Amino acid sequence: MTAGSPSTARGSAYHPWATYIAAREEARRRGDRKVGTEHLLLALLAEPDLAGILDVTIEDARAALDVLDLEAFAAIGLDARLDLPPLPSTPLAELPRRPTFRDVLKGRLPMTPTAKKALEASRTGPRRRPRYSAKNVLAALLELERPDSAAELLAALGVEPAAIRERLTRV
Amino acid sequence: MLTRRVCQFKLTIVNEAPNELVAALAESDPAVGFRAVLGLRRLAERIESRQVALARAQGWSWQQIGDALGVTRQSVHTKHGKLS
Repeated sequence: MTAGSPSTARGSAYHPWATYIAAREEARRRGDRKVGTEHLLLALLAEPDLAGILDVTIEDARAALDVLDLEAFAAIGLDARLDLPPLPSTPLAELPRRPTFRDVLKGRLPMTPTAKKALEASRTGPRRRPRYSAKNVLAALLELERPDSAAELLAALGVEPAAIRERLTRV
Repeated sequence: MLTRRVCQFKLTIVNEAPNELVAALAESDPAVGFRAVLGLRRLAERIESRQVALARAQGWSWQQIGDALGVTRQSVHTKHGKLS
């Protein structure tokens, strides 16, 4: 599902709302009622350059989240396997490069406080002339510690935050 | 036996032996327990979505589905309407 990935391709400006919209779709498909840090991480993985830095595919990350769920179910004594597919995806293909306020409001899901903070970290520069970068969102997510859901996911994927942080500064 | 039989009619039972190590983890780590709580909510959402689709296929009205779920027909339609 790369059609809806927020683009950071050369020449197109990154906009954090695009990440939010992609993350919201990940949350909705999983059945979550809030957009959390793990969904932001999935949304960032839809961007080829960031997925390359993390050396993880979005499919790997989605599968890892399902495994975490199954482990948690087993831990509370629910020896069960989720035999239900994720919710059908709504088409994101027409996601605009610069989403409007209306795009964001359509089918909105609230963000968890930590997710909101991470997305706000995408802004650099003065408030009047803001510049946004997806790398800053990733950097903010890498700062998180367990039991935050993005940190748990990164740990499950065997990603070392310190190593990625170093790679981010070199790019 | 902590396994909830009620849940298992919608879930397929894992055949492997229950993992005592993982079970012991839940006793000591609330993080795992909280993850299970969120996971169960996700599970409920997925079951709801599937059942609404099934009900629509069987000719249920949005009103009937709303009544069964204890919400208004509008809120069911807003949530699931565009998927069917």
